[in-house]
Amino acid sequence: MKFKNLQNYFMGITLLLGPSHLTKAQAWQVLSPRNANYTIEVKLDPKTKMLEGREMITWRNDRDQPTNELRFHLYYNAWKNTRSTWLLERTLTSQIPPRRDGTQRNLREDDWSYVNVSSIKILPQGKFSTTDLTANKRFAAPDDGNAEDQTVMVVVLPQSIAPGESIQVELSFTSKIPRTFARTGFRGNYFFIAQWFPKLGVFENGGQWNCHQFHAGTEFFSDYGVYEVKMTVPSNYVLGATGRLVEKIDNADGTTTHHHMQADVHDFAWTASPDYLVREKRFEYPGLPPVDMRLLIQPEHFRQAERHFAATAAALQYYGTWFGPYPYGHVTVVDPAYESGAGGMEYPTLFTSGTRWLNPAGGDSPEGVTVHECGHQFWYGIVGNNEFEHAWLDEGFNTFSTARAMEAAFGESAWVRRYFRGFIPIKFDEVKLPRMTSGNRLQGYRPVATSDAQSTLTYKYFPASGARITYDKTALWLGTLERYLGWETLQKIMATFFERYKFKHPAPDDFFAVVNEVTGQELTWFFEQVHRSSEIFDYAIQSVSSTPAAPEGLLDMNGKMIYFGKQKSATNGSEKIFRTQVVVRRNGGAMFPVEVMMVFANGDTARENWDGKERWKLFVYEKPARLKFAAVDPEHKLILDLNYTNNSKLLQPAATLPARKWASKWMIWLQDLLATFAFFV
Amino acid sequence: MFELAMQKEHYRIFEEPMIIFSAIREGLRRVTASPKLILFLWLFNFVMALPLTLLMSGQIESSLGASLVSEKMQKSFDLDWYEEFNHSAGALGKTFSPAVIGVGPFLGNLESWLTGSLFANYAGIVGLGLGYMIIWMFLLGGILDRFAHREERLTMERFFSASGRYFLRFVTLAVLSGVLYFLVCGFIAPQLFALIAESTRDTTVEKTVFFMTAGAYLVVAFLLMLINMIFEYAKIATVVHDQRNGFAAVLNGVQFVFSHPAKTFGLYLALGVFLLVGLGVYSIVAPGANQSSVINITLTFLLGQIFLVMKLIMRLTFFGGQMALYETMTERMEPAPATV
Repeated sequence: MKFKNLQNYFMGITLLLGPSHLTKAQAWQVLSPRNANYTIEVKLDPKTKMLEGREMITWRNDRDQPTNELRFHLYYNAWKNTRSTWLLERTLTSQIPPRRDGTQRNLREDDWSYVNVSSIKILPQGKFSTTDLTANKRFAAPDDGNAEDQTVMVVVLPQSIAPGESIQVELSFTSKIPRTFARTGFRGNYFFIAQWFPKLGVFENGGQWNCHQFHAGTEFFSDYGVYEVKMTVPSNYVLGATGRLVEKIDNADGTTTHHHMQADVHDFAWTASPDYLVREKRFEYPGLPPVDMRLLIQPEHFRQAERHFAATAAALQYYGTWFGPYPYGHVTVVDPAYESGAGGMEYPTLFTSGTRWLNPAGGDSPEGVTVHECGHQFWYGIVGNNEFEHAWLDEGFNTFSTARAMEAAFGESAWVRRYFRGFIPIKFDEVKLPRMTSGNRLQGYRPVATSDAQSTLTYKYFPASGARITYDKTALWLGTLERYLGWETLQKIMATFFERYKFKHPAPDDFFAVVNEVTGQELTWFFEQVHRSSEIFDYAIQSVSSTPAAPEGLLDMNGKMIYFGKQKSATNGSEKIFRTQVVVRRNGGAMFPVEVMMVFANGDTARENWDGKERWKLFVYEKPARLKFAAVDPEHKLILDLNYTNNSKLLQPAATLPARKWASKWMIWLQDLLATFAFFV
Repeated sequence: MFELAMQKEHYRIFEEPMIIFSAIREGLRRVTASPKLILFLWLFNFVMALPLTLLMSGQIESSLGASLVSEKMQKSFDLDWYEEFNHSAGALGKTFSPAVIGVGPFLGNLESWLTGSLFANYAGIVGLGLGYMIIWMFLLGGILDRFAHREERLTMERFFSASGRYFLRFVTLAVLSGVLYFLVCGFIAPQLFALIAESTRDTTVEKTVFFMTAGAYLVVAFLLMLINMIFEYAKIATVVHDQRNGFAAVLNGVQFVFSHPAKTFGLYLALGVFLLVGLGVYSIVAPGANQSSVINITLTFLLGQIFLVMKLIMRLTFFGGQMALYETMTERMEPAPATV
């Protein structure tokens, strides 16, 4: 089907469905290329944890080269056994330590998963006639050659698909749902179903499929399209899914089929559970399109429903105002079941948040995760970068945006420590989580700062530290850009990038080009360091001194050599003069222009700009007052600086009292701990 | 006849609470009658904690250096500094956290006590804790002797002589109780929590797991307290009867606890509740992080010390009260000490 025909086809559908299903604007406006369209029917068997499915894919080659094959992701095979690339990589992290015999801890036969494609055939369309391709399928491991990894399936076609041509294929598949891995799976009668169907990779210019194996540290990448999905589940289950409900049919066998449809998205996820409570609310904000918010919440969290709505609304408002409006008109917020492992994940028009039964207001949960996952509707959902290769483009952008929206909507959060296996939270109101550092996760980045250059493809990051380079480092350098360029400029950059690449697949260079274009500056030097290198930033005041400026030794005066001994003071007229020396040092390998500020005892201030390139720099002043303190980067523009404490130095150190203050609090802990030891004798 | 029977029943109902509260009152009286002992034990606790505190103070001071952050840390808490410090700190430094504010230290230690995780602490602190246990064990002889012979004058000589006299006997008891504590913390508790994890594998409601976990904590706490109570009565029997045989003392303890379960458990629980109420009060009045002057910092520290002293008094009241109960009940029943 040609693009125009396809477009007409879906317009027809939307007209048939009417405005109750899609907004008027959406019914007429095609937002994305819609070159990968899925019609799926699937049935859930909660007892066997199986999915029985059939899908029809209509794919249009909208690239400049022909292809004679189709490549599919079979994500559920990542948890088929310990030989999969995903699980082999995961053993490099501490998350699932393998046993000596190679099996995974606490996993039973029922916990593993797979997706089995039982048939695949071409449907008659254009030059293609009905052809069974089942025998043509094979597994491929383009990333690591792991012959036992079955997460990529290649199907060779009898004829190639030329640029502009389309093909329709039909697949039948059976999926065993895992006990949750990577946020998809089951716990008891709770199901969160994501990455569950055979899904096409992305065919790129140059004639190559971008269809990576599933890796422990990566997420997803797909083309945009229209998804029409019919999910059959027991009738007592509440269902939430990507898109809007088109139709709901009660079947004779005690099941109900929920028919959902969504255009201009690149994935489809759904959830079903008999326990969900449903609440709905409408988001409205001047200048932004309204959004129907549907919340599926666990009964024990019902009192937190308003907090979920407030956070979702905050994301829709701030992201919508800063970057661009949310176009879909509806969003489903899923509060996952306890320990289901499905929390904190984004899918088009649907996301999972995550909270606890006891969760004090003023901490950063569940607001933080809700804003973040809703924020992914913008960075990932609308701007659809390749998460296998450049996940930082969405995760990092979103981490930065989350922190900003959280601060704007809720102010600074307080630190919460959870006691007794995490059940009892205690909020420490005086310990605030600053947006720029805590929000952008400096503490996560610090220990792994040199583990990988960010420009390394995401799936090649060291699995245990990749997320920190993806999420944290990006958020930190965006924070640095915000303070270096100003929020107005950065907001313009991000909004331009959003507008230009919405419903597209941007690459890193696209963003860097937008930065240079919007700022009118050449900022490549910055990205060379933060993106293409793993060097760290660390500026410090190495030393400060302020001594009487009187010289000592032999000085030429009026043609004579006169000896000056050590003097207690020097004067200029009646003023005493002090010579102040400040040595600023660059400890890290990376460079950034910094300001150096000197504050003197008489209130005078001196500010210097240093390009930060040399290893050290001396600043000298002769002033009628001693130095009070010196600070490099006093405004803390360089959020990436790993050690900010060393950025300032007082002439008269004052650390004794604060050290005693905090040690005295720690001492009370230690004294009580010793008394606790004594209980045992 | 009926009226008389009712009266007797009435008295029986009130007898046990009366005995328990009498024991608490008597225990408290014995403890507060020895202010020098309280002062000495607090000082012991303080002095034991001081060297590591000085080390910690040095580490914090060294990290803050002459930076402007030190000014912020004087006024409040800087999470950025803490994370920097924590990243570069050694094992001792890593024991510092924002949870030292307010009631945090006591909650953390309560958690460590319940889970036995205080022995999984930094080796230096565990070593100090073990040393503290040994010295406390030594001092306990003097403490119990003092409570047993309160009419006699408290002298250093008598105190340490009693400490020395009972030390080896208490070591035997500590070894025996240690085996049981290890069983509870190292075997029963992990098994209980594993059982909960297993049985709630498909549970989707946190509250269910919460209450099961709370139940498991109660079981662990009960077992810890039961062992503690039995061995405290064993120590009391050792001192009161000059019992030399550790096993016999334990038998005495077991016999006593289970002969008077309502009174022994009631007394222990009542004292435990007082302790928890005290913790609750402290959580309300405990100062936060915003002291900046020497006076405020000192006052905050003193308030913490006052709470520690209150806890110490309560701990001693356990001994004093249990001894009073033991004496009362053994006087009534005049049992022969158990022998092995």
